[in-house]
Amino acid sequence: MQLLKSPKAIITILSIFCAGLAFVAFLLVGPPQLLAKSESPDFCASCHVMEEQHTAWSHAGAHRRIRCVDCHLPNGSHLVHYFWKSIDGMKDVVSFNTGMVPERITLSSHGAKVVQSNCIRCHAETVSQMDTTRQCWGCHRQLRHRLTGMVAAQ
Amino acid sequence: MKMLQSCAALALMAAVTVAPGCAPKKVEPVKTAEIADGTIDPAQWGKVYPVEYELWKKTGEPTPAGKSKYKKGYDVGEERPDKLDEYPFLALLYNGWGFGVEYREPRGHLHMIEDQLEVDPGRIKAGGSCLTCKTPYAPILQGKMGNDYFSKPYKEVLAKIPKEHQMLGVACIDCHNNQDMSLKLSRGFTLGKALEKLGVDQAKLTQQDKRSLVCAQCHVTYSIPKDANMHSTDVFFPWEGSKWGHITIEDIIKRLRSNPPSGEWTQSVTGFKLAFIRHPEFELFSNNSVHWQAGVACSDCHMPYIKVGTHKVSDHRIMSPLKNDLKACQQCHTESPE
Repeated sequence: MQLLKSPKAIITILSIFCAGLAFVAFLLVGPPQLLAKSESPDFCASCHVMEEQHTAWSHAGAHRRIRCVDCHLPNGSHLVHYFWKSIDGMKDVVSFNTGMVPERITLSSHGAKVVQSNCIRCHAETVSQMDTTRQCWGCHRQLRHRLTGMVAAQ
Repeated sequence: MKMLQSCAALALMAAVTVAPGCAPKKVEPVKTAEIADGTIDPAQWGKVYPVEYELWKKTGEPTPAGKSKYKKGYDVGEERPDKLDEYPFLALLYNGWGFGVEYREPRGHLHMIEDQLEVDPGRIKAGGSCLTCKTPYAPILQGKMGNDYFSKPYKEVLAKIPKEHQMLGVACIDCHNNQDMSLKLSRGFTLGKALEKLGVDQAKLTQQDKRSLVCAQCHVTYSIPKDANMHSTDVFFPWEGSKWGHITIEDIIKRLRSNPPSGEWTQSVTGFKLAFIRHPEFELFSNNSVHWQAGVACSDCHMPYIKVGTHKVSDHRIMSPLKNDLKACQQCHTESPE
């Protein structure tokens, strides 16, 4: 305890902490570009269980230009985005590595809320005069990964 | 002092971290004007929602001919047919009843009251009850006049409506709340009571439920019970014994047969006093039809969303989806209209 209270100790701890932060920042936004890479569809598809969704998306229509995270993670603000990125990412890591992945991967109820809010975020003007309490993909069914026509199974 | 400084520093750090975390403000459409409570004139609503208003006015126009097998009442360039010409035996079956004299399909929503005034007067013998589904003033009149609303002659009750609106068919206020355009049921004295019979909690109705129920205010079968002098006493939906999603014709028939005042007319050949079932559209649709089971509402097919400028709005020109080139169907079905 005495040791920790000395100014020298505090400075040492702080500098180690800052160095650590700098290293993480380097990894994320420096040349390795880990942050950007982990936002890419190829990253999501690197877990083979996501192959079906990735294939369906890569043959889809208009939404082909946007990434998985543009729909499946909240994009209201950076803080919320990265917060949920970590949570969902960790959840995926755990499920995948423990093998607890269902045969038919479906959207969770929270996931559905996130997707709905992203639909409205991009198409805000278009839907400003209509009811948005129903899920957009209830009528626009071909947007769903399994219903784009690329996957045989329903 | 040091405590204060560190608290301030902490607060500043918190603000700097959380502020970028706040989401951008929600997009709200600019409101050009207010619609006062109780405004019935659709032109006033139209000032704030011109797109829907123009579409609603289009219900007064005839629809393309030849696209629907059954809906031929108001086609472009065609004569308005009388069902009695199509099915002559109805003239005999309905002998003694207004429908046996003239049975012409009415035109669009805009012409509701005009059509009532143009048809054979035998069809509006039931009195003010006939206005229940035709004028936005119906709930007001029924509230003010009580039983007289049902029993007094049609023209007398119609005269009580302000002159400029006597030819006005059902309008915005019959389905919408003027403050936020949410859907609201205006016919408490008919549909409201009927929903209670079904045991439906009206506070728990979803937006999608209401997209069917505002139509079910009128597109249902109803009974106008008569008293001993054959004057109307009420308008009710014979839904006793039925449940939400299971309103059967059998239950309706049972209810009508067991209720002597529901004998509205006397068949002239046999002398029987008979009830009458009219267009049970909501009942049949909601009795577990395929589309009902898929969660489809009346408005999904008959008022599909269309793109007007940059916005998607419900097509307020209520018409048959077949006549609309099956635009509504293509929302979910991928086959082409052919």
